[in-house]
Amino acid sequence: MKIRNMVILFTVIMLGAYLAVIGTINASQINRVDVTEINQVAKTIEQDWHAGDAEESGTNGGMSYQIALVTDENYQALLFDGIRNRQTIIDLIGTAADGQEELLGKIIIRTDGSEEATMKRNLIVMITLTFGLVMLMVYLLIGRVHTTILRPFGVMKGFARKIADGDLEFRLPMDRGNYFGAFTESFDLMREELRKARQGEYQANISKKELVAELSHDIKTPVATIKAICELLEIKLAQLSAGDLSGSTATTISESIAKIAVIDAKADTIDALISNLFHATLEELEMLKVNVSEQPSTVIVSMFTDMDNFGKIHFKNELPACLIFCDSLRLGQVIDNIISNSYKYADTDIDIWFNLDKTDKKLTIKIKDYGAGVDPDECPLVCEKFFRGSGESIQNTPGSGLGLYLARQFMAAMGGSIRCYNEDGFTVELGIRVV
Amino acid sequence: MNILMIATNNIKKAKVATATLIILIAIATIFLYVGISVLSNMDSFIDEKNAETNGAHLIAITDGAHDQEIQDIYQSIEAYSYSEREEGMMSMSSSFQNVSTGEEANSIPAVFLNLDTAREISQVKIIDPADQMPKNGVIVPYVLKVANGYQTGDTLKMTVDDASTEFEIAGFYEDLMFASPSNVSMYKLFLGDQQFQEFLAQPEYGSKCSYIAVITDDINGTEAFESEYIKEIKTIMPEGTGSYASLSYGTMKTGVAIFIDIIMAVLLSFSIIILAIAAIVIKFSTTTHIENNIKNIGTLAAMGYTTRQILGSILVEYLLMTAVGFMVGLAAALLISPLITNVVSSSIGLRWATGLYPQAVLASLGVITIAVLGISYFSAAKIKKITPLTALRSGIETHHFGKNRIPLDQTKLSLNTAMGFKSLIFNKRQNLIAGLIIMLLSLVTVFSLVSYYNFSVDKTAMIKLIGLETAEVQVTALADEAEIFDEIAAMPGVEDTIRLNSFDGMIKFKDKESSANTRVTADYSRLKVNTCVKGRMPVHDNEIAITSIVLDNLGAQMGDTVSIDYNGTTREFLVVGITQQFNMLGRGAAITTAGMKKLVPSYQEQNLMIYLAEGQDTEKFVTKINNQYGTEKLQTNSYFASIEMMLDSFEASIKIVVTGCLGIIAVIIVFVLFLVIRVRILRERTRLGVSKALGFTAYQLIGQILISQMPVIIGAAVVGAIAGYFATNPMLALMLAANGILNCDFYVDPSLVILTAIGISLLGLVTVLIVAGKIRKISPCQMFEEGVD
Amino acid sequence: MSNTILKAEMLSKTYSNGSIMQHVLKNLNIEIKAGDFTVIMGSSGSGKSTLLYALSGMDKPTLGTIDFKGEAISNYSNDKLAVFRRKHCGFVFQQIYLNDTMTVLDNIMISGLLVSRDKKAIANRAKELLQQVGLSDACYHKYPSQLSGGEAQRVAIVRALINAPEIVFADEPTGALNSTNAINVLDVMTEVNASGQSIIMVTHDIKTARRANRILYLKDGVIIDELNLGAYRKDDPDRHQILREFLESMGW
Repeated sequence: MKIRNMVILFTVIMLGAYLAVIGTINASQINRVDVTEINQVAKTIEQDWHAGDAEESGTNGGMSYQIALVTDENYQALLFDGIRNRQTIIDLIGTAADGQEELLGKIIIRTDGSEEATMKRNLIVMITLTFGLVMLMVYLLIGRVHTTILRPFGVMKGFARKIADGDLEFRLPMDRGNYFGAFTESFDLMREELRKARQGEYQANISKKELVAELSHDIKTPVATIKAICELLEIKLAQLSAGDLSGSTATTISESIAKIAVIDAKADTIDALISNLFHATLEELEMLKVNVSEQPSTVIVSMFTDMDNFGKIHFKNELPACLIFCDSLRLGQVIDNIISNSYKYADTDIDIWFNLDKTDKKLTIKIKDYGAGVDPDECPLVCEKFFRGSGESIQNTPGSGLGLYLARQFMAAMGGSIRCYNEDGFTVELGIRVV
Repeated sequence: MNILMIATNNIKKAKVATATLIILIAIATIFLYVGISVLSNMDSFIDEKNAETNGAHLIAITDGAHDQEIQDIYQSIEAYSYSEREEGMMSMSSSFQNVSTGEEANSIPAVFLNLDTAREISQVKIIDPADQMPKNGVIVPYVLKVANGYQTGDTLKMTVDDASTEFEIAGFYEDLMFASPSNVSMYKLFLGDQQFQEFLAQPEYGSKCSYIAVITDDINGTEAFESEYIKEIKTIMPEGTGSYASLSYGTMKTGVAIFIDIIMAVLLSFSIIILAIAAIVIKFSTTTHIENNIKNIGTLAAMGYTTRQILGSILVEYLLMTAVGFMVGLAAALLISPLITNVVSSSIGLRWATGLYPQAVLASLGVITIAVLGISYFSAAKIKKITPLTALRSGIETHHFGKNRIPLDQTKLSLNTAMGFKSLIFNKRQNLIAGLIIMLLSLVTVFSLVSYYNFSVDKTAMIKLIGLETAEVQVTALADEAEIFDEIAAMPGVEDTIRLNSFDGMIKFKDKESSANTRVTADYSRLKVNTCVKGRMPVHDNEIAITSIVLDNLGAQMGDTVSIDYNGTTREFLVVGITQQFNMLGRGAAITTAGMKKLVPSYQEQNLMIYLAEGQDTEKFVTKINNQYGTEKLQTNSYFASIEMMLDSFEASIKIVVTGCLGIIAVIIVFVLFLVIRVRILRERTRLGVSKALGFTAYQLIGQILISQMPVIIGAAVVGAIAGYFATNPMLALMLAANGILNCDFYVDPSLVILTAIGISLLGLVTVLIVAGKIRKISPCQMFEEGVD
Repeated sequence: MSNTILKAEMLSKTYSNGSIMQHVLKNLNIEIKAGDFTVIMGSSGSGKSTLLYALSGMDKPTLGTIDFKGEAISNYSNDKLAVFRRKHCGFVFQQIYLNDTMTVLDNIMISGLLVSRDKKAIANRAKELLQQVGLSDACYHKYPSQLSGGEAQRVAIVRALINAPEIVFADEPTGALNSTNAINVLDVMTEVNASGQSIIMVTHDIKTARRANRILYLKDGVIIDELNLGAYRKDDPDRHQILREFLESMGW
């Protein structure tokens, strides 16, 4: 708790106590007589009087009373005596013979001094409460000062000793109200700053490399210009040498031609180097279109099940879970081609075996149907571009002869292999590289 | 604007807290807007409605014997402008039943008027008129359509003693004077000319009467006009004869709006409670936000943002939420406006139109914006004290060197229980906040349920609040009362009879005066409903008990002596008690028969309240009395049934309000718990992750959260419900204080309290289970990393 | 000493974030023998910690199997894994991760009570172990924030050992400590190993690594090589030199 909050709290409590006291004082009505009670008593006395069994003085409803009748000779004296003693005086009314009300006398009700005693008692209670509250608050304040100011100093002392002992691991227990901790913690901030600086350096390095790469790519343009100019010069000089020129000039020109040829050759070399550097990779990127990535082998299962429209595909053993190099889109196409070939030409059950060769890091998928297979002579050709089997039924089936060719291309691009042979039917073995 | 960027970023990060706040603000907006718009427009709405039909300022229904004298009285009063008199038929002991909706018969007096009479004052504009006015067509008050579901074409069966006839409802009219039976227990019905004439000729249905409507110069002075009229009319017609009713615009207007005013006040106070909860949520989320983002704040400060700007970003964040929440709330308020229209219309009996009230929009926007911004400012203001350096030092560290209350090597508790309790002690601040909210809501739930129970299920307390006796039958004798009353008291099936009269008295104290419906009976201790709240009821002839409203008007207190003026006789009475009543706008007084005899020596009690024994059929009894004595000597009506009907019109509104409140309470509890536990899981993800790594299963961790949370939820629900048990009546009294209600005696069924505690605990349990279930999906490693969210 | 207690085959761990998949571990095969002190090294991001967490059953591998004493824990449900961990594994973290809200003794007890209900026995074992790692009884009722980093880490080691697990997994236990404290902690770990418990530790620090008898070098999710120091005595100065050469050849 902040000092400010405490001041506010104290003020509120004191104000509340003050208001409560004022309220109690205001509420305690001095000399207020309970009129209802008096009326009740008076009416009862009246009734009793008429019944004829009321005494001239006595007690009724806890109040002692005295009746002063108009006919009494000491009526005035009784009345004034009552007024002097601040006693309650009320009319005693009777019904006269003609039905009209008439005043018979007064009822004087004697009050005791109990109000004063009550007031005194209330005052004592209030004062005791107020003092108690103030005392409680003082204790609270002292306690607060002890915990917020004196104790942290003790902690600081212990901390200083630890530091003196060389124990820098020891953290200063921090508290919101403690302002000393900032000094020790700034050292950690320094380490943080160093780490940041190192990170910045690393970033700068990366961007530098990128810049070099970009620049080298741009070099190709000026090299091309140099080559063009070399060729132009060569042709121009060759034309000159064809004409009749003096011997020395001719030798100079032929020497120049030779030098230009060297420049041209060197420019070629630069061009080739740059091409090797970037073109190769660029071409590779563009031409392959096969994005080999590391994929969980489990993706293969869904490639088969997606194709399994006739319920003919059966896995003969479980797929070993591992990471493989593949382009799941392309591998899917390969499997798609093989399975649809089988549907087209054999239309039998298809069995699948998986085999993981850990030492060779190769996952083999054997896909086998039980159809007629391929003509053994044509077997080596099935993966060639535009090759289609010569059988009549094959020729009658629509197809382009590209399926297995593409499969081979893709498999090669993925670093894998494809092998086709007959074994109780047509069998394809896909070899996939394992990471 | 960078501040805006930071703000939107913050909002995106704390999706749940944001959603909670938006929903809370939206709910608060709905209540606030509806409350303000209805309360602020009610007055002008009623005035406009009345002006539309040139509604009467005063209506007097008399037996027609003194028309000329009455006219003279009117003209003698200064404010008089013009008046209209027409023939009507008064049926005092009629009861009505809508055969088409299959409702029970209502006993209510009715005055029939001729639809085809040309009139200037209180013109009839028919809503939903029948294509063609059928011969037995009747035009009924609009309240029957909205509150009781009457439709044009329904058959309305009227029974007077043994005779009964059927009408066909041919439309509805709006008239403030007869808007709702809760205000004036009398239907005003319009019949076609032919039917009306036929009806007049059938005395078994009622007697001919004069219906006089008056327009005065000053629409705000109608109550004074009425007192003037009542004073004068007493000189020509003694109490209880000839004059059936006099109704002034001012009284009716207050009366009509009173109930909806209460409902709206409840809505407003509910919206304040929700705002308070929103405040707690804001305080909570701001503190968490600052603690979690202390480094970001430090970075921003280091970059050169001033604390004012950072504070600004937090304020903008809440401003955005307020804006969204307010728009959502406003849209929802407009969306549910048919419901509100229905609630308001059925309470006031006039066709209320809900629209977009710019003032109400601005007022509610103002209240909500100031509340939200104020709280978020004060809870975020501590940012001001954070220097960038302290902020960057991985925040404010909190340490707990407290005593280890549950050392695991000594405790008898099982591991999970002990861990749960450790966490309970550790998270005492959030638990306190959640506990407070749940306690508050639990209290409100008990309050709603109790209100509903007393309004709808057991109406005794409500009737007591209204200040009416629970007698089944009321008999007014026109002659031979002493003899007849003794005979009735001796009848089989009659449990008790009490002679209870009332008259409009004018009470004076010093130089102030106030009118009060003064009851007269010999012995108040015999009454079944005790309306006394302070002091006692009068016993002696010079004693009186008065309602606090009248006392306040007079500036008098208990123990003071007031005087009653009756036909020129003035008598003094000592105020010995304070009573309370809801009817007659809380203006009431009570004196003894002896006291009344001091005012009117010839006074005779003409009214008898009859309490039937259990199982007696009220209707049959009424018929029996009527057969025995005939209507010349007696007027009989089913007293209690008419009170019940009046209450029924409130029931629908109360039901909607209570259901709405309960639904909203459930939503808030779920959201608050959701927020608290989610924040805790996010905060403690590392600890939870380590626990999982150490081999705690998800179920053990969920169990620990459950153990750490449920004592607070159950405790708060129980404490709140118990507080509701004790606080419901004082709260109601406080709410109704304006109507002179000092204390309420609603029956708080302990089973409702238990039900609330159990219901809220179960709701809490389910919420905690669902939110904590998230732990299951998280693997220990993920929990070390930042991105759980 | 040659019986295998933990064996992982074709272990892969893939994190996917939307469409981007990141393979942190790739077809790893690893075998841990009882009593091994195995250290996993590699540059940051090479998957060291992931391997540690996968082996310890804290995280399920995406592919591959992990056998603990012939049981395939990789097929366990999360809850079964939790039960496995509490019985057979101990964990020491770089960030220590003691529960700030509980005393030292309670921190150890929560682990112990998971396995046994005998509070007294656990408390006694905890005190014994605390003595062993050089912590006096003054600290039993301290809170973690009142301890130095080294002390806290030793408490964490005691917590890891309370259930006498077969394997202790340590993720850079000395990473956040100064050198004196680090040596202290490592001495404790070496002792633990000497008493027959296997240790699998991830570290960056060559001084820490030379305590091991087997070094695995991880790069891009693959163990590219391993070094066996088992043949050298623990205090053989050659150890350091051989390790240095090994790491240099790995491109450390």
